[in-house]
Amino acid sequence: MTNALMSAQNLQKSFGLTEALRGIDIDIYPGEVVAVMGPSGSGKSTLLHCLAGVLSPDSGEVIFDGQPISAMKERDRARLRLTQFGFVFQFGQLLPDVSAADNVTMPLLLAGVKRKTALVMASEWLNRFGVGTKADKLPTQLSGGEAQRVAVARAMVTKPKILFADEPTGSLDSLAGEQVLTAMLEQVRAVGTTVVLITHDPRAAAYADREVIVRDGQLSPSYRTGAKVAE
Amino acid sequence: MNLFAVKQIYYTPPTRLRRIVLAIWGLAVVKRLVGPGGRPRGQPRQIYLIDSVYSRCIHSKSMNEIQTSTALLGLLGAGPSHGYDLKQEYDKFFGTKRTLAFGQVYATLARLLKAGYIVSLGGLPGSGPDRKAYEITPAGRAQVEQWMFTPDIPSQTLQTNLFAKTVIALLLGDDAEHLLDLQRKLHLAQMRELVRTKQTGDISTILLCDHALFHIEADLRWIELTSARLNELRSQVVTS
Repeated sequence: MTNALMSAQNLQKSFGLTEALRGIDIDIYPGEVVAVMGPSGSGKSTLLHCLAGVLSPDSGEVIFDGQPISAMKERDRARLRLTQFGFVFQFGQLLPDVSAADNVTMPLLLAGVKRKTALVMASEWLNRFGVGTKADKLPTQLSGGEAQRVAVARAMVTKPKILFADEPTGSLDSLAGEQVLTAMLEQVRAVGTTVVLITHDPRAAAYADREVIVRDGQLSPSYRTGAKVAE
Repeated sequence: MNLFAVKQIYYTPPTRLRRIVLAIWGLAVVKRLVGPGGRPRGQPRQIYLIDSVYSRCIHSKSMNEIQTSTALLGLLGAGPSHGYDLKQEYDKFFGTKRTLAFGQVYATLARLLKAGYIVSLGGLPGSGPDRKAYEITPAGRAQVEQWMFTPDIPSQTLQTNLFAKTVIALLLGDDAEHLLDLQRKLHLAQMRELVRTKQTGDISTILLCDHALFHIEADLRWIELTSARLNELRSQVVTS
């Protein structure tokens, strides 16, 4: 069997007295699209932040490509997030004062790519997502669907190994949401990027290869490997 | 007989042969529509035909409605009971729209007895006029488990059977959350299939798939809500 690209073992995370994660184990394999579903407050986003190295778990381990992320220094984790991970959020989180193209160049410039090269790459990725003609527009001049496609282009421009998408269609109507998801999955499959898709929307989850359910900070037993009918 | 042959006959001048062939073909079509059995004496042919076809449609739609016999068997899983008490119990949980007739309860119990899913305990004191109590057998319990943990094909009438499974699982102390999870898995698998079909389909296919997707999504939302309210339902089921 293929080795997991990312593994989480017994992840636990609390905020004050609230236990957000209570021992989560999950394996994510290269190239797959995994939907993480669950009710509000179940710990989905905390799980994503721990997997992506944005939050450090109180206990447990996240292993990416054979390396434990929690043991890394913050600087190395930041580098990992910049070069190996991509992020898409519910409201795009584009920088409001710069154009769509400049938004997409941002991760490349931070990674040390020259501006001219970065602009060419940004233009190519905007075209791939069907928003090439909007390159000079400010985020406020874009529709919700267009802004989200720019956000996905920005996440994909570094060709990350894993794309973390937190409710990427949560603020869009059905048609715009579908167009964003279709474009995103077409590109991630072409590049071979693995996707962790946080969603409470079953129609978004239907685009994934499989789903897991987080409930009260734990993976639902039915979605654990080898889960059996309870006696 | 194919349609071309029928057309050939239709467009030939009226002859005795044409009338005979058309009559045989018509009879075959009617037989195919109404299936085996016959028209009850005195019932007009037209009404019989519509009635038969309609009832077949209704029957195919109601496949996911509560399977009364399994639900009764599930209620017996909570402990030995009389037919009278079983009927009261069934009506309390599932009889909102239509209560169960006593005749149906006893006929079902007789079938379950014959199948070896229950045994008769003979005379035990109960609330009703009947004195015979019944107990579920291990084979009956296995049957209930199989029913509970086999997800239903998504359909417009899914909820009633799924609701019955959930109530019985809570009543028997079984894992109701797991059966809802299994149902969710099947629903999402079907949604995935529809999404795949959409990706290569024309606009008509896309819209038809969307229609199905929205209906399955509604089921899933009900599953989510029920899953979130299991404790509330459990306390009601167990204390009532």
